[in-house]
Amino acid sequence: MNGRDVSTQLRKGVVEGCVLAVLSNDPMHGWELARGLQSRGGIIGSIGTLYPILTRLEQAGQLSSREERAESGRRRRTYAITPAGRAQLAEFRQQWATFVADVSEVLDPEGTRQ
Amino acid sequence: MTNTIGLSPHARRYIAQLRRELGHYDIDGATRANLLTDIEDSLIGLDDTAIEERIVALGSPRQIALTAAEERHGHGPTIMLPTLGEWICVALALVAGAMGFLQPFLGAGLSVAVVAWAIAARDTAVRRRSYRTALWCGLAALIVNVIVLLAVLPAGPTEPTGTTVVQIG
Repeated sequence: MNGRDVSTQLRKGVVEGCVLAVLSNDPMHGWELARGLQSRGGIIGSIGTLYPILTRLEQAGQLSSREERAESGRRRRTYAITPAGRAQLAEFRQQWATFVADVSEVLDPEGTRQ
Repeated sequence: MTNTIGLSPHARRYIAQLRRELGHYDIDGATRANLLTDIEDSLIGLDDTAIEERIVALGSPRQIALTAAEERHGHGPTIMLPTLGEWICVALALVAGAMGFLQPFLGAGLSVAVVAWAIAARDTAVRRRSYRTALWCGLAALIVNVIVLLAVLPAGPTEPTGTTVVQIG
Protein backbone atom coordinates (compact mmCIF):
# COMPACT_ATOMS: atom_id res chain seq x y z
CA MET A 1 0.00 0.00 0.00
CA ASN A 2 1.67 3.23 -1.15
CA GLY A 3 0.91 6.80 -0.11
CA ARG A 4 -1.55 7.40 -2.91
CA ASP A 5 -3.54 4.28 -2.09
CA VAL A 6 -3.84 5.34 1.54
CA SER A 7 -5.16 8.78 0.70
CA THR A 8 -7.55 7.37 -1.93
CA GLN A 9 -8.92 4.85 0.55
CA LEU A 10 -9.28 7.48 3.26
CA ARG A 11 -11.12 9.85 0.96
CA LYS A 12 -13.72 7.34 -0.11
CA GLY A 13 -15.62 7.28 3.12
CA VAL A 14 -15.58 10.99 3.82
CA VAL A 15 -16.29 12.80 0.56
CA GLU A 16 -20.07 12.66 0.87
CA GLY A 17 -19.91 14.03 4.43
CA CYS A 18 -17.56 16.80 3.31
CA VAL A 19 -19.82 17.76 0.39
CA LEU A 20 -22.78 18.03 2.76
CA ALA A 21 -20.69 20.05 5.22
CA VAL A 22 -19.54 22.56 2.60
CA LEU A 23 -23.07 22.96 1.25
CA SER A 24 -24.52 23.36 4.74
CA ASN A 25 -23.19 26.93 4.73
CA ASP A 26 -24.27 28.11 1.28
CA PRO A 27 -25.64 26.65 -1.94
CA MET A 28 -22.95 26.33 -4.59
CA HIS A 29 -22.56 25.24 -8.15
CA GLY A 30 -20.56 22.11 -8.87
CA TRP A 31 -17.43 23.77 -10.17
CA GLU A 32 -17.14 26.03 -7.11
CA LEU A 33 -17.68 23.06 -4.82
CA ALA A 34 -15.06 21.00 -6.65
CA ARG A 35 -12.45 23.73 -6.37
CA GLY A 36 -13.18 24.13 -2.66
CA LEU A 37 -12.80 20.42 -1.96
CA GLN A 38 -9.66 20.10 -4.07
CA SER A 39 -8.01 23.02 -2.34
CA ARG A 40 -8.78 21.62 1.12
CA GLY A 41 -6.07 18.98 1.28
CA GLY A 42 -7.31 17.27 -1.86
CA ILE A 43 -10.51 15.82 -0.38
CA ILE A 44 -11.41 14.98 -3.96
CA GLY A 45 -8.56 13.97 -6.24
CA SER A 46 -10.32 14.68 -9.54
CA ILE A 47 -13.36 16.71 -10.48
CA GLY A 48 -14.69 13.50 -12.03
CA THR A 49 -15.18 12.11 -8.53
CA LEU A 50 -17.56 14.84 -7.45
CA TYR A 51 -20.40 14.64 -9.95
CA PRO A 52 -21.46 11.02 -9.36
CA ILE A 53 -21.55 11.90 -5.65
CA LEU A 54 -23.74 14.94 -6.30
CA THR A 55 -26.10 12.81 -8.38
CA ARG A 56 -26.20 10.12 -5.68
CA LEU A 57 -26.87 12.60 -2.87
CA GLU A 58 -29.60 14.25 -4.92
CA GLN A 59 -31.23 10.90 -5.62
CA ALA A 60 -31.08 10.14 -1.90
CA GLY A 61 -32.90 13.42 -1.19
CA GLN A 62 -29.97 14.88 0.73
CA LEU A 63 -29.30 17.57 -1.86
CA SER A 64 -31.54 19.56 -4.14
CA SER A 65 -30.44 21.32 -7.27
CA ARG A 66 -31.80 23.94 -9.59
CA GLU A 67 -30.64 25.45 -12.81
CA GLU A 68 -29.70 29.10 -12.90
CA ARG A 69 -28.65 31.41 -15.66
CA ALA A 70 -25.11 32.71 -15.19
CA GLU A 71 -24.22 36.28 -16.20
CA SER A 72 -22.91 34.87 -19.46
CA GLY A 73 -26.42 33.58 -20.12
CA ARG A 74 -25.35 29.98 -19.68
CA ARG A 75 -27.09 27.35 -17.58
CA ARG A 76 -25.54 26.48 -14.26
CA ARG A 77 -26.74 23.94 -11.69
CA THR A 78 -26.65 25.05 -8.07
CA TYR A 79 -26.75 22.51 -5.25
CA ALA A 80 -28.24 23.04 -1.79
CA ILE A 81 -28.51 20.81 1.24
CA THR A 82 -31.97 19.55 2.24
CA PRO A 83 -33.29 18.78 5.76
CA ALA A 84 -32.53 15.08 5.10
CA GLY A 85 -28.99 16.11 4.15
CA ARG A 86 -28.59 18.09 7.37
CA ALA A 87 -29.72 15.08 9.37
CA GLN A 88 -27.22 12.90 7.51
CA LEU A 89 -24.48 15.47 8.12
CA ALA A 90 -25.23 15.54 11.86
CA GLU A 91 -25.00 11.74 11.91
CA PHE A 92 -21.73 11.83 9.97
CA ARG A 93 -20.22 14.41 12.32
CA GLN A 94 -21.11 12.35 15.34
CA GLN A 95 -19.74 9.12 13.88
CA TRP A 96 -16.65 10.84 12.54
CA ALA A 97 -15.67 12.13 15.99
CA THR A 98 -16.03 8.66 17.46
CA PHE A 99 -14.22 7.06 14.51
CA VAL A 100 -11.24 9.44 14.70
CA ALA A 101 -10.94 8.86 18.44
CA ASP A 102 -11.05 5.07 17.96
CA VAL A 103 -8.49 5.06 15.13
CA SER A 104 -6.18 7.36 17.10
CA GLU A 105 -6.44 5.03 20.05
CA VAL A 106 -5.50 2.05 17.86
CA LEU A 107 -2.65 3.82 16.11
CA ASP A 108 -1.17 5.35 19.23
CA PRO A 109 -2.43 3.60 22.36
CA GLU A 110 0.12 5.34 24.58
CA GLY A 111 -0.72 8.77 23.24
CA THR A 112 2.96 9.48 22.72
CA ARG A 113 2.90 10.61 19.09
CA GLN A 114 2.27 14.21 18.17
CA MET B 1 -26.75 18.91 -24.16
CA THR B 2 -23.92 21.39 -23.80
CA ASN B 3 -23.32 24.39 -25.99
CA THR B 4 -19.77 25.12 -27.07
CA ILE B 5 -20.41 28.68 -28.30
CA GLY B 6 -17.94 31.10 -26.69
CA LEU B 7 -15.24 28.49 -26.19
CA SER B 8 -11.81 28.77 -27.76
CA PRO B 9 -10.83 26.00 -30.22
CA HIS B 10 -8.49 24.52 -27.60
CA ALA B 11 -11.24 24.39 -24.97
CA ARG B 12 -13.69 23.02 -27.51
CA ARG B 13 -11.31 20.17 -28.33
CA TYR B 14 -10.91 19.40 -24.63
CA ILE B 15 -14.69 19.31 -24.10
CA ALA B 16 -15.19 17.13 -27.20
CA GLN B 17 -12.54 14.71 -25.95
CA LEU B 18 -14.13 14.66 -22.49
CA ARG B 19 -17.53 13.94 -24.02
CA ARG B 20 -16.04 11.04 -25.98
CA GLU B 21 -14.28 9.62 -22.92
CA LEU B 22 -17.40 9.89 -20.77
CA GLY B 23 -19.28 8.03 -23.51
CA HIS B 24 -16.99 5.04 -23.10
CA TYR B 25 -18.17 4.30 -19.58
CA ASP B 26 -21.45 3.53 -17.88
CA ILE B 27 -22.06 6.99 -16.43
CA ASP B 28 -25.65 8.20 -16.05
CA GLY B 29 -26.90 11.04 -18.20
CA ALA B 30 -27.41 13.56 -15.37
CA THR B 31 -23.88 13.13 -14.05
CA ARG B 32 -22.38 13.39 -17.51
CA ALA B 33 -24.43 16.46 -18.47
CA ASN B 34 -23.71 18.32 -15.23
CA LEU B 35 -20.00 17.50 -15.40
CA LEU B 36 -19.71 18.68 -19.00
CA THR B 37 -21.75 21.84 -18.43
CA ASP B 38 -19.75 22.91 -15.37
CA ILE B 39 -16.34 22.19 -16.89
CA GLU B 40 -17.35 23.97 -20.07
CA ASP B 41 -18.62 26.91 -18.04
CA SER B 42 -15.29 27.11 -16.24
CA LEU B 43 -13.40 27.43 -19.54
CA ILE B 44 -15.44 30.24 -21.08
CA GLY B 45 -13.86 33.63 -21.52
CA LEU B 46 -10.32 32.49 -20.65
CA ASP B 47 -7.31 33.13 -22.83
CA ASP B 48 -5.19 30.20 -24.04
CA THR B 49 -2.69 30.43 -21.18
CA ALA B 50 -5.43 30.45 -18.54
CA ILE B 51 -7.22 27.61 -20.30
CA GLU B 52 -4.04 25.55 -20.33
CA GLU B 53 -3.55 26.15 -16.60
CA ARG B 54 -7.12 25.17 -15.88
CA ILE B 55 -6.91 22.04 -18.01
CA VAL B 56 -3.78 20.98 -16.14
CA ALA B 57 -5.69 21.47 -12.87
CA LEU B 58 -8.69 19.52 -14.19
CA GLY B 59 -6.63 16.60 -15.47
CA SER B 60 -6.94 14.68 -18.70
CA PRO B 61 -10.42 13.87 -20.04
CA ARG B 62 -9.63 10.18 -19.67
CA GLN B 63 -8.70 10.62 -16.01
CA ILE B 64 -11.89 12.59 -15.30
CA ALA B 65 -14.04 9.95 -17.01
CA LEU B 66 -12.24 7.11 -15.22
CA THR B 67 -12.65 8.66 -11.77
CA ALA B 68 -16.31 9.45 -12.47
CA ALA B 69 -16.92 5.83 -13.49
CA GLU B 70 -15.00 4.50 -10.49
CA GLU B 71 -16.92 6.73 -8.11
CA ARG B 72 -20.26 5.79 -9.60
CA HIS B 73 -19.68 2.05 -9.38
CA GLY B 74 -17.47 1.93 -6.31
CA HIS B 75 -14.92 -0.15 -8.23
CA GLY B 76 -13.13 -0.15 -11.56
CA PRO B 77 -14.98 1.48 -14.43
CA THR B 78 -17.54 -0.43 -16.46
CA ILE B 79 -16.99 -0.08 -20.18
CA MET B 80 -20.22 0.46 -22.05
CA LEU B 81 -21.11 -2.10 -24.67
CA PRO B 82 -23.33 -1.09 -27.58
CA THR B 83 -27.05 -1.61 -26.95
CA LEU B 84 -29.33 -3.66 -29.19
CA GLY B 85 -30.72 -0.44 -30.69
CA GLU B 86 -27.21 0.71 -31.59
CA TRP B 87 -26.40 -2.62 -33.25
CA ILE B 88 -29.65 -2.49 -35.22
CA CYS B 89 -29.02 1.09 -36.34
CA VAL B 90 -25.52 0.26 -37.62
CA ALA B 91 -26.71 -3.02 -39.21
CA LEU B 92 -29.55 -1.25 -41.04
CA ALA B 93 -27.09 1.32 -42.39
CA LEU B 94 -24.96 -1.51 -43.83
CA VAL B 95 -28.03 -3.28 -45.25
CA ALA B 96 -29.13 0.00 -46.85
CA GLY B 97 -25.74 0.28 -48.54
CA ALA B 98 -25.93 -3.28 -49.87
CA MET B 99 -29.49 -2.73 -51.14
CA GLY B 100 -28.17 -0.10 -53.52
CA PHE B 101 -27.13 -2.93 -55.83
CA LEU B 102 -30.50 -4.69 -55.67
CA GLN B 103 -33.27 -2.21 -54.88
CA PRO B 104 -31.81 1.32 -54.94
CA PHE B 105 -35.19 3.00 -54.26
CA LEU B 106 -35.71 0.93 -51.13
CA GLY B 107 -32.04 1.33 -50.23
CA ALA B 108 -32.26 5.12 -50.48
CA GLY B 109 -35.42 5.16 -48.35
CA LEU B 110 -33.83 2.94 -45.72
CA SER B 111 -30.68 5.10 -45.73
CA VAL B 112 -32.73 8.23 -45.04
CA ALA B 113 -34.55 6.45 -42.21
CA VAL B 114 -31.24 5.30 -40.66
CA VAL B 115 -29.73 8.78 -40.93
CA ALA B 116 -32.82 10.29 -39.28
CA TRP B 117 -32.69 7.71 -36.47
CA ALA B 118 -28.96 8.24 -35.90
CA ILE B 119 -29.37 12.04 -35.76
CA ALA B 120 -32.30 11.76 -33.33
CA ALA B 121 -30.45 9.33 -31.05
CA ARG B 122 -26.96 10.80 -31.31
CA ASP B 123 -27.39 13.54 -28.73
CA THR B 124 -29.48 11.67 -26.20
CA ALA B 125 -27.92 8.21 -26.27
CA VAL B 126 -25.73 7.09 -23.39
CA ARG B 127 -23.19 5.82 -25.87
CA ARG B 128 -23.05 8.13 -28.86
CA ARG B 129 -20.23 6.55 -30.79
CA SER B 130 -22.40 3.81 -32.33
CA TYR B 131 -24.99 6.30 -33.53
CA ARG B 132 -22.26 8.43 -35.04
CA THR B 133 -20.98 5.33 -36.84
CA ALA B 134 -24.52 4.57 -38.02
CA LEU B 135 -24.90 8.16 -39.20
CA TRP B 136 -21.79 7.99 -41.36
CA CYS B 137 -22.66 4.51 -42.66
CA GLY B 138 -26.20 5.71 -43.43
CA LEU B 139 -24.89 8.74 -45.32
CA ALA B 140 -22.46 6.54 -47.26
CA ALA B 141 -25.32 4.13 -48.05
CA LEU B 142 -27.46 7.04 -49.22
CA ILE B 143 -24.69 8.21 -51.56
CA VAL B 144 -24.26 4.68 -52.95
CA ASN B 145 -28.00 4.37 -53.55
CA VAL B 146 -28.24 7.78 -55.21
CA ILE B 147 -25.28 6.97 -57.49
CA VAL B 148 -26.87 3.66 -58.50
CA LEU B 149 -30.22 5.40 -59.09
CA LEU B 150 -28.60 8.06 -61.27
CA ALA B 151 -26.86 5.36 -63.24
CA VAL B 152 -30.08 3.39 -63.76
CA LEU B 153 -32.59 6.21 -64.43
CA PRO B 154 -31.06 7.64 -67.67
CA ALA B 155 -31.50 4.23 -69.29
CA GLY B 156 -35.17 5.17 -69.75
CA PRO B 157 -38.16 2.84 -70.16
CA THR B 158 -37.50 -0.52 -71.74
CA GLU B 159 -39.59 -2.24 -74.41
CA PRO B 160 -42.78 -3.62 -72.81
CA THR B 161 -42.18 -6.96 -74.41
CA GLY B 162 -38.57 -7.02 -73.39
CA THR B 163 -37.52 -7.78 -76.99
CA THR B 164 -35.25 -5.68 -79.13
CA VAL B 165 -35.28 -5.75 -82.89
CA VAL B 166 -31.86 -5.60 -84.40
CA GLN B 167 -31.61 -4.75 -88.03
CA ILE B 168 -28.60 -6.15 -89.79
CA GLY B 169 -27.26 -4.83 -93.01
